[in-house]
Amino acid sequence: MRVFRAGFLLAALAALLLLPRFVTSYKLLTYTTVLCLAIMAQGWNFIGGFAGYAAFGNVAFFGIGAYTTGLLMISKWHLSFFPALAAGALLSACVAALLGFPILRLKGHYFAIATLGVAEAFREVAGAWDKVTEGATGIDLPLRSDSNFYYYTALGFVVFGVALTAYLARSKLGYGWVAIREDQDAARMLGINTTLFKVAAYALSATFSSIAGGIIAYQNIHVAPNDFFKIEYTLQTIIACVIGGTGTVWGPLLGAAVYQLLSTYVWSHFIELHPTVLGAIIVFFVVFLPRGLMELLRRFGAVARGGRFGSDVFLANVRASRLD
Amino acid sequence: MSATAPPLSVPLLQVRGITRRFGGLAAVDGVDLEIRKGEILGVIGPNGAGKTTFVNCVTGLDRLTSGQVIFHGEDITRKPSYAIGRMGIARTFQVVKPLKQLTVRDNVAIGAMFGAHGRERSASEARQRAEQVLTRVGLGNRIEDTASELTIPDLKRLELAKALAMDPELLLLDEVMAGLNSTEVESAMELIRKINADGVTILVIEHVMKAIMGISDRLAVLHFGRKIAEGKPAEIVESPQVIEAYLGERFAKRARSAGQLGRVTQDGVFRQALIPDEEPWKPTLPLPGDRLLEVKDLCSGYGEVQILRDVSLEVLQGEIVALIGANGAGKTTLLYTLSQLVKPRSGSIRFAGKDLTRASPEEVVGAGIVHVPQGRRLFPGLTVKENLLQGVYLRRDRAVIEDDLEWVFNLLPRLKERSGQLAGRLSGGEQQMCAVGRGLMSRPALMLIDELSLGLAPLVVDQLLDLISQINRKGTTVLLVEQDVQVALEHAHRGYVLETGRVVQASAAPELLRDPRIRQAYLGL
Amino acid sequence: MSGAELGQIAVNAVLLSGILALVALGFALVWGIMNIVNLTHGAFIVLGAYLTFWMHELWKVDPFLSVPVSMAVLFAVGFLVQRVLINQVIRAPLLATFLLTFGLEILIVNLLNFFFKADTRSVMTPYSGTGFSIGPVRVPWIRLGALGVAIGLVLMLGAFLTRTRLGRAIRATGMDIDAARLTGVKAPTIYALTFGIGAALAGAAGSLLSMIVPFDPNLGGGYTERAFVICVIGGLGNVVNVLIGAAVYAVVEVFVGSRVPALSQAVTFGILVLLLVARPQGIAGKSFS
Repeated sequence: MRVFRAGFLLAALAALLLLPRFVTSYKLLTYTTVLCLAIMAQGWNFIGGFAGYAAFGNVAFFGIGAYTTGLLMISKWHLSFFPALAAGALLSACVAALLGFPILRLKGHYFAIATLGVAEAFREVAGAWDKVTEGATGIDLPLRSDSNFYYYTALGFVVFGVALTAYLARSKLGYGWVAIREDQDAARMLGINTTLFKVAAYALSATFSSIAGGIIAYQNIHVAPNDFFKIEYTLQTIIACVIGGTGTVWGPLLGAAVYQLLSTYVWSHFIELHPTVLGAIIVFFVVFLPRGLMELLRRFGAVARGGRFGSDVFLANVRASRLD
Repeated sequence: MSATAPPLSVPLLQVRGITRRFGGLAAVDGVDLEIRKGEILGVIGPNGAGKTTFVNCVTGLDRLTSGQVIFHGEDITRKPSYAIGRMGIARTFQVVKPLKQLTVRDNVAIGAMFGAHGRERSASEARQRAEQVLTRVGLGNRIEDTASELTIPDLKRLELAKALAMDPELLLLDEVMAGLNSTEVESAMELIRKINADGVTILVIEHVMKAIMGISDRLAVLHFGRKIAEGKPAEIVESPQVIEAYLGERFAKRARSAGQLGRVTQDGVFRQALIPDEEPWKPTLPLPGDRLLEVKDLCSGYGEVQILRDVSLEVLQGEIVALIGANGAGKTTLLYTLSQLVKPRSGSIRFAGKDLTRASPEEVVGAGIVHVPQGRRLFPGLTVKENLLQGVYLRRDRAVIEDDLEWVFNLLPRLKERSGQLAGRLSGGEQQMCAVGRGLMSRPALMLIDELSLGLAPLVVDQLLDLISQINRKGTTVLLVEQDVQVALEHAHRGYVLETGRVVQASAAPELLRDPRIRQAYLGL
Repeated sequence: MSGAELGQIAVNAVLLSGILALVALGFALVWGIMNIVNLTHGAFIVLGAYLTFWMHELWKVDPFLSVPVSMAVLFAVGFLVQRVLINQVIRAPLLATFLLTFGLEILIVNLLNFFFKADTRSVMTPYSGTGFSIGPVRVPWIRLGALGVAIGLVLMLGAFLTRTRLGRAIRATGMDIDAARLTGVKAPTIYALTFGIGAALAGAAGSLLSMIVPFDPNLGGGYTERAFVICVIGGLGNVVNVLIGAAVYAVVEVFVGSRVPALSQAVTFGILVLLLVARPQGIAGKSFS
């Protein structure tokens, strides 16, 4: 079973590496976008999946990453892409840490809405701070039309993300996060500095969002407040993670891929009602598949090994969370 | 008793004048206490005395209004709880807090990872240490199970294991034995003694008298947030203040007639005995009438776990029937199934000739069965009067409701005094009274009462059971679930014994009281 | 700042606080009783606004008179949404209800965009724009009327909750749902009722707003956020708390709005964060975190 799994993963990786040869440049842009969504989902997975704190404003860091990368590249220092990206990531992490300390003390709902406010606030600042960000018109990055570059950069970060998640999940940090998610008071009593751990998760999620933002900014050339601080991006990130399976290593990646598939299909068939259908999809997953597709795959795996599928558990999910 | 009480008792933890106020109410009021290294200190007191708040304050979960906590000579009053955990103080929670989606091993490994020796351990070393600790508490065979699958006694063990894995110097145990049966209590006591012998200083909060008397080197008694007595168990039991406030007259008589404390120290077990010249109290009621409730082969449970297995019982009109058994036996589940908050999976429930097997909770209430749930479950933000009115929700006729209110106030005058107060502010005994009153409002034919005595002082329990008998004399049939077997059987006509979801015995209450097996299993004799 | 400016700000704040109280109350009710942060609240407000607009446009119904209609329709919508959808996930973890209401909001707003387009609308009546003056300070009639309606509804809700059997049942269910069921309460119905009332209040707010501000399908989001901030400021305990929260918030918003309009969100957020950090239980209410 393990050999099969490893083989499958290697084949998938090979396919991803060879993809640009078989696809037009234009199509490749879409794939890069999916990979960036995966990056954001992986980041969100730390704070929302492992630590159980649903952050609703990570698009703020996406935007910060985009602007910082762009501004540094066109500034008088003319930084090249990767250093600018790194600077953006670092800045995002710092902002997240600063914000995190006060707002992560809150529980559930309060934190979620506070983060929503963060995103909106940054959008406004980006629009109003004309001197630096050129306000609503936005900035233009240097041109680089090599679509392979963006693709491989994004792919590299995705692979890194998977490795990091796998490592952290078995580390003290990962355990600490899960303890916080399950019972924060118990976690505190067990000796976990919950505030610090939560801030770490939040800062990590900010870093990932920021990197995604930087890549998309470069690929897109133009950065403007209303394009880059869209709440839809947060929504997509969360959906991707939820569809795939929060708190798992492969969930975000799987979810991003599935989301993209669904989204493309919906876009081509229901263009005007696109968000409506997406909303309906969220509703479906939340009600019937709260643990995501990874859970589904796990059950298939169990069946393959001779266990039961437990479809009754899906209905039990609904029954358990419903009021009657 | 600990095997080696050190000659020079070094204070490990000192608590000076700690006070914790919630608004105007002082939950803990100027308590001075010292815990000496190597000892087992017991803390007892009625419900609401402030024992759990005390532990919360010491461990940093709650902030002190004033006072100091000193550990190893260092002031830890303002330290955050995780820091206190790392310094070597660990606690268990009264309402256990397992990390539900993790395995048993991972639950405990977290304690090992972040506790006093956490820094020196890697994650995998922590997992190994977890396995050691789990074997020690007796959960060695459940290491791979998910925490959400455990039974209550095992969850209590898990709670203990988590705390132990933190390598504490001082362990604070908050009612670890609540809900365990006699045998389970004894093994818990053994375990605590073992842990203490290994060098851990322990503070134990308990209501289970036999346990705490048996294992404590010293006792402290809290009452309304103040310490009212401190000393050796033998002294405490004799103290008139303590007896009056907490133990109640009957219990103290028992303690004295159990042959003084010589017997207590012999094997460390405090033995309760029925006072030989006092017959169990017999309810004086006309002979019971027809079958009111008929349960046949009832099966039910939660999620994938089945609790009740083919339970059959009946309750006759005018009776008080006691339902006894260890925790996890299914007593509470049975009541919830009867009131339909848990759906039966098979079997039947008939009440006064009507089939209620597939009824909804509101239909059950409408039919005349009211369930007074475990833990009072009053509406804390509503006044006493509003709580009572809610009890008669299904009735619309104003005049009749006024009558009901009058009737309940007559039965329970204390409630009338407090009718405008918020239910959340009442004492434990008053809350229980209000819960019973709320149940009575609709003048049910059958009352299902779950664990009247839980968390209440023996004195209050006596009063409440007398109240139940009074209500029964006025015509209400009662099905009573009780942890305190003696008091339940003393007030009932008949009793059923439940064990792992099955009825294993059913007879008249006095017979059950005399049955040696019952006494052994439930009265610790 | 001159006395006149200050006076105008004060009056504006008072007038605004009425609407905001109405907006926040429905939100607070659902949050307090069902522990659901209803992100669809904004969409309900917008629906109310459109209802009033079209009733005025098509049948010349006076907007104030359309308030009861709007409330009735939104009550039905809320009741159904809860009973059919939200009820399925109500015992699931927080994220589930959050996402669900989030998804619904997007769904409804997008549908509105589809049917009514994103043009801004406004309900104009013969008395729009008229008002009276107290010295240099101007008080528009419509805003005053809206304040009156808002206060009336708030009082009615308060009375309903404290003096009626159903109101008590709702409060009881919010405190302990199982204990409530043991007294004969049908929990799904009570929840649907509560959600319906919350939606109805949102609808009323929307109807009133249609006369006061130009609106489009995206109006709602900002009000949901305001409702949240108000609940945080005031605390969830009871109606009075929400009123206090609304008053305080109104003052801040009007003041900031007159100074730095472009950064109003950022300032609101900043205040929210400071408040939550300093005093999680709000100014008057019980603790939530």
